[in-house]
Amino acid sequence: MQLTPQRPNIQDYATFIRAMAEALENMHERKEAHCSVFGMRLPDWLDENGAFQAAKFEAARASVESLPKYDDLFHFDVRCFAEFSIECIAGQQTVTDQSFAAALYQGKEWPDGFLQLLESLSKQDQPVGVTMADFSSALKAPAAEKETEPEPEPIPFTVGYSGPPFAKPAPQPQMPAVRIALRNATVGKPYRYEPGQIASAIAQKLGNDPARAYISHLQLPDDCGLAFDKATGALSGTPTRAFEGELSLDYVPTDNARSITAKVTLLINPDPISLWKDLPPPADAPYQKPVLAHSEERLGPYRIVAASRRGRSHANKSEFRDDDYAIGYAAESGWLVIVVADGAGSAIYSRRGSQIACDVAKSRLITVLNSAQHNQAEALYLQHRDWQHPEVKTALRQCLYEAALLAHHKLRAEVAQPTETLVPPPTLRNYDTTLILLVMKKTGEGCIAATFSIGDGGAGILPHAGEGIPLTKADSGEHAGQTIFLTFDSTVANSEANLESRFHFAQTQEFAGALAMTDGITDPKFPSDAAFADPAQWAALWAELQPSLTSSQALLDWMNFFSPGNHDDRTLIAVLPAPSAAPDTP
Amino acid sequence: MSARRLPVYLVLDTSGSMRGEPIQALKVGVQALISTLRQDPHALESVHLSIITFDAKARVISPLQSLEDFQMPLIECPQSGPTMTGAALEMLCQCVDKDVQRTTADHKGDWRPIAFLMTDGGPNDTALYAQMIPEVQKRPFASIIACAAGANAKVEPLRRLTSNVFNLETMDGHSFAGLFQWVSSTVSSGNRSMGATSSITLPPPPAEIQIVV
Repeated sequence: MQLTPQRPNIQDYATFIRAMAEALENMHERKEAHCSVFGMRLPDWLDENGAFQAAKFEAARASVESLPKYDDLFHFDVRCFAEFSIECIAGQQTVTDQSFAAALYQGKEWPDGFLQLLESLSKQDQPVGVTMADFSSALKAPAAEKETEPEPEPIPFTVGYSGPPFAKPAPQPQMPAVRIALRNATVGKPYRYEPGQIASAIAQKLGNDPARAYISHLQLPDDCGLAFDKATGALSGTPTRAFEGELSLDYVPTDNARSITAKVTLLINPDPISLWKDLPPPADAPYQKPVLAHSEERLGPYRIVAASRRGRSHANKSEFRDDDYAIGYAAESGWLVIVVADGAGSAIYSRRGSQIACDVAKSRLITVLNSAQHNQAEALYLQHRDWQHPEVKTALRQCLYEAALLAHHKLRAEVAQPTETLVPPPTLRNYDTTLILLVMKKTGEGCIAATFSIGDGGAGILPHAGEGIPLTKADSGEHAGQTIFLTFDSTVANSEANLESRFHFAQTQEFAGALAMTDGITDPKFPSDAAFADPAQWAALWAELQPSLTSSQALLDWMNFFSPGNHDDRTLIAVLPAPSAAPDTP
Repeated sequence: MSARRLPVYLVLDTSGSMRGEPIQALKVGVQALISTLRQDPHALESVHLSIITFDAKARVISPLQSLEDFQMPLIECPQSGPTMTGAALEMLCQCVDKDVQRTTADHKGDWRPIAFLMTDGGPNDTALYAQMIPEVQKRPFASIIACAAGANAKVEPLRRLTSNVFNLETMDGHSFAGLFQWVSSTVSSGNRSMGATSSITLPPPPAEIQIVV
């Protein structure tokens, strides 16, 4: 809305006030608490220039009076009127009602009394009662000139933030009640108010000189780690314990003036780290699973370090680890098989879903890749002598897809005939889980790697320590926690579009390592899709991991890192070149 | 890197009929909700809270801010007046459109928001209310919980908005305390992975709340 170029006409305003007073009076006689034209708020009475439209008001009032007497139909929002004025003067204009507020405020020719009244209202922190008569007389009494005609009968109706209904005007308090809320603090985080900052903020609010106001005393909780420096007026420190409550403060508006004691609220949040509990999952629940798992092994030309740990969010609620992983090696053909799965936090048996998915997919892949008869990719490679040949890649894709499809069907079988007694009978969605399949084979100094993934988390390969190639594309929705699962028919649909979106292939001339992980790791380490696609971010994670790849226990310890908001289960499998078979000389 | 946020909107009826004990009980309940959530580490890191009140008009009295920085606003009640629930829903939609971050290449999206609507009456702006229902449902809420508080609360309009409608028989401190305790457990279960389309499963409500089916 545009601010008014013309100031509202005082005559219009007086008409408005009179109409409002009349309406109020009528309503009051009818013992109606509601006394405004329903749906018509004050800004609606202004024309496009911001001028008050008395005629519109009169017409609306006439039409309202002809309506049946329903409570809901009337509402004279006198409160709005007071509020718009106050918000304007206090500099907190609301957008929708700005023009009305501006119209009032810019009307410098308003009688002083009226402005003073609004101004005094704006300073009230407490409920205050103002009658229509106060407004009328303030309007009618320009500069020092006493009104001679008799005052209109005061209308016993209050205006203000929350004055009691139909009460007499409350006496104006001598000293405005001051309530001060300090910014919230958090244990362990430095906290600071600059010298004089608190005093000048209060002074500005009360209309005192910020340069001369000071605080003579500020009460603080004992041993909280915060200190108030009386000499400078600075409040600083690093909180050491949580606190929530009221304190007191002595404020001196100006030198030698009497101090005002005010209440101060302060909240010190606990350190989130201290709040996490580590509760074991229920021992009598079906599908038991250890909260930690780790392993390291040497398989063919590879050394594999793997760890999986229950997230804080699950430990805090006595829930299971939902992640799982599986590792295998097809010794005959030299294919390494890595599987990670993340059971959905929202599915009650997802810990079993992820386990089934990992075990089934791994076994299937090893069987197929080891079989001269069934390993189509290998057979086609021997024919074309090119891993990148479309037929070879398609065969590899099919091999991975069939493993995922088999896992999907094993979940369905588990629903039909659960391996443990479940009451009530489970549904497929109880086993929601993601699935990442990664198969690798050494070729010369480098390797070939192929993935098939459903859901979030990710896998990638590092030709050398300075660069990573992401090998998955996460299925993430517009919002956090939205992903898709192996349990969905759509994710295992045998369509070219679906298979192509889930399959990735890479061939490298060198090999430094490969990683497969669940979103408990990818979320904190790759804060966006762009970061996941950035080879340098992979290199950074690889570098960070190095000291912890000495053993799977070290990896498990590293996985306990703290990252705000990221407390899901974490699983990571690192594939490294096996140390060259150096002679074992002591 | 900042954590992904779980936006929680409390949409509270402050119309004239809430005046007195109900509004006091509501304030205490909201305060207790915030204190409880602050003891939940996941909530303390992820929950962002906004409070919208509605009577003759809807107002955002607390714009979305982290639980860590959240300061309890003054919740006040006019002496009388209509219940503009439709205007409140309109405000809620505007807030969600403005506040909630969706996934982009450079940002991970927020958790899907949760809205909690409490009213002790029925919408007076029925046309706007009806118009806003499909609008609210278009927004990516993980859950919308509506509470009809007290004997005069109209349940039917709420049921058109959401299937999670609860009835609070009385509006005293005890009832509100139970209600908000439950809301906090709902919020605590709000940040976890789920399917792209499913809603969160609500924890069982406390004994004081009657489920409207």
